[in-house]
Amino acid sequence: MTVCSFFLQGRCRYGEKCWNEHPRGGGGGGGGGYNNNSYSRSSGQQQSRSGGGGGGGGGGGRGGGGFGNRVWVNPNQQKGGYIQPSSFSTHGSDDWGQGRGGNDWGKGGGSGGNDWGRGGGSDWGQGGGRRDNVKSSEFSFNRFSALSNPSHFDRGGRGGATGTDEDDDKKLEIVQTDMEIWESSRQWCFSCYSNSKTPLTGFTDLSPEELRLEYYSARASGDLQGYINGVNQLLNQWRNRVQELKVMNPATRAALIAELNNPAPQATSSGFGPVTRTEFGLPTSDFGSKGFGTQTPVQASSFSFAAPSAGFGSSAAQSSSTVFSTTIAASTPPPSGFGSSAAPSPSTFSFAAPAANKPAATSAFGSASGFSFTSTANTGGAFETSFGAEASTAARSGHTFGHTSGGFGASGAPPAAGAGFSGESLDGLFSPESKLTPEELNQFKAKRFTLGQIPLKPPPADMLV
Amino acid sequence: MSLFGTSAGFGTGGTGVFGSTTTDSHNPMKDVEVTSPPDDSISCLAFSPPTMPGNFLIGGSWANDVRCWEVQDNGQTVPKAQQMHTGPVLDACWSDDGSKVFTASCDKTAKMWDLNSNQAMQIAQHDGPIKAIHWIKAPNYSCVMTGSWDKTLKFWDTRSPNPMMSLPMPERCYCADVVYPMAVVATAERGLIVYQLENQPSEFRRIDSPLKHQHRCVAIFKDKQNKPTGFALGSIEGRVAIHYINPPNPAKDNFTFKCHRSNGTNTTTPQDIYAVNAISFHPVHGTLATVGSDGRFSFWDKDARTKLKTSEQLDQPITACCFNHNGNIFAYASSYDWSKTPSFRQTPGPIHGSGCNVHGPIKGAYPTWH
Repeated sequence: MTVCSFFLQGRCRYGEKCWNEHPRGGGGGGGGGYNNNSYSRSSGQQQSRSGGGGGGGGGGGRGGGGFGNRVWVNPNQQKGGYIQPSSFSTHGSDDWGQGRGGNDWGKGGGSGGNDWGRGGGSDWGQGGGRRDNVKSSEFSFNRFSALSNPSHFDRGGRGGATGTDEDDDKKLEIVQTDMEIWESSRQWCFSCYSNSKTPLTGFTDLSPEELRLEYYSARASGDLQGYINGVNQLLNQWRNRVQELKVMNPATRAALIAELNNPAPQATSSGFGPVTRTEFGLPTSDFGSKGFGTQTPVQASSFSFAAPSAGFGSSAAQSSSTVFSTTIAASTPPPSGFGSSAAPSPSTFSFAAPAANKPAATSAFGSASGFSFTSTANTGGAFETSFGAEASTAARSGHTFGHTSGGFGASGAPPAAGAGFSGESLDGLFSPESKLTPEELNQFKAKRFTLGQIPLKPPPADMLV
Repeated sequence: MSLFGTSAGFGTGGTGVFGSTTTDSHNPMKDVEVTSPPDDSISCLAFSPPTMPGNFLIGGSWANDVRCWEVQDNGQTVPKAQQMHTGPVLDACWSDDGSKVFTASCDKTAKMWDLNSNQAMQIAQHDGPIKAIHWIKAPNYSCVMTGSWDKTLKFWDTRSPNPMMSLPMPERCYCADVVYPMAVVATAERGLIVYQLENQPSEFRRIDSPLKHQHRCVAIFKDKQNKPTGFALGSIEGRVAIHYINPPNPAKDNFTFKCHRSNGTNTTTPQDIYAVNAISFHPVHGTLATVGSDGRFSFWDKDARTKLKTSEQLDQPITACCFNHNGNIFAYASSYDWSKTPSFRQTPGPIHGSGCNVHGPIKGAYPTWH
């Protein structure tokens, strides 16, 4: 079969139906070439991507070249109906995400950098949109221009070849961009999110149907306010978490990097390590950015149990309110992940008996004033030692622990906590002042910890009130 | 559906507040509207299998009912029968011989509806609402597969109150599809599990999600030998992933594409992203249809990686869709789908009734408007 010369120029109108051969060998290289071709017809901005994008284009190369040029020859198109083959032929590769070329963005696609889907979406709806219009509009409003810098694509293409730090930066950048999109696109909020294998903590996955069913049961029981509160609660959690990831202060950053690099195993089993982090990830974000006074009991309870895995249902199931309790009947017993993770120190947390826990958490959250960090420091420090391995999650987890245990402290938990740790040597419980840096010391002295600078060491014994 | 009916009900002018505007945008393609739609959102649609003469359409709704219509050759629809659950119906499917319909509901039960006798009986029980139900016809067994928010996948032989098998899942079932000998279930927290159904169902593989956000719909596609070879997975983030189970070249063969997004016209307005509510493959040509909360449906060719066309925008989200057995008819349901997060709505709650349109006839691989 003759090799199709039009195909080689990247503009064969017949695609797979062509009588001549469309060589596909070489994959990435070919793909890159085609991509370049189509990019170059687009705009300068895109052109700048194409250099770095070639690698990524490898994944979608087929789409870019062979398929992108395919035209559906339909008589209707003459009538200017809905079919705009020409727009495919120019940016076919863009409309479709890349293959899973082992690169994060290609796989998840959300921040894939190529925002052509939007254009693709637009041209059909308009019916009359002519090729040139479509093209220019598409290319002109790429609001992800941040993503189109070549280095971004570079990374995708090179995969693991990049250095770790740089890699982290990119990952965080992607997360940030995704958050911006998420916030502005008005898409469904109650979704998990991930740009790698495991979901990022702090998001609740709840389908529209689940929420709707809650509404229906709330309506049936006449407690619509409960539903609204619950939703608003979730919404706030989501907003705060998105905000947190978007702003990406050093603390979040550190926590996120730790999380991205040591993805938490799927629930359960592993004692306190990663599970803890996920459980408490959510509270952190809320604590960080708003006061406690306004929080409702529902909120408090969902805080204490906000495991992303079953978060909503399980938390509510334990609260006395009926909100959302019917969603997931299966999780009415304490979530298994939680039970097992709490096992190492049941006496400390007394999570084994969630019912007992609830009032404690509630009261603590309910009264913002009861939140003194001095006592917190004590238990917080203790936790650090007993779960020392957790230190890698940095400030965040320490911080969260502090808060949580503060909650217990306020409701008379200290004796229990004390019992839990009584067997440990004092050395493990407290740090001598000499071993602390001035910054850490200041943190312990201050009324409140500063987010991001919370010491990972236990506090000195004499600073406990 | 016609929310405000004909203009007769409202105002004498004929161009009353409601008349013209709603009718224009709730059925902009001028498709045939199914008569007697349910009173609340339609959650699922399914056409009768090829073993049955004629075309029968079933639709489950949030009004707790399942309805059956006959779709006649001229496109007209005749309501035939209905059954009730005690909770919203989330999914429905046909048996392979077309004599029975299986329905899954938030009331935690699944029912078998014998169309000949018009009797319905409970065949399954879960600890949570049942989100997905599928009929499995294997050479050596046949059963009903139910996936629930109680994190189990169960298989029922319809005669026993106990399941033949119950498989735990890591998360709540959000959607599933079955094409013997393959089943795929997508769960919350981006879980994705493939099952093989030969001899007896068993977990085949867990797959890392190719998508970043919540899974919403999944549909299996076949290869040229008519064997299931992969699936299309839609998420709330206006994106569909095409994923082959054993691709020769995963990096190239698997890909994602965007869909159901607003066509922003300038850089200042951010793009609106809508959920992909359902995916359906054309039974003959293998092209796929996606429907979204943006109120549009689109047809795609996954092999050519092209969009074939997109519908006009309806005034409500499209919540469900399906092709009939020979691919001549495409049915879609427009109803409120809770997809706009509450912050964007003033009052949570219903809702605009629902509608179901039948789109056709579809000619060739590329459906044409009529």
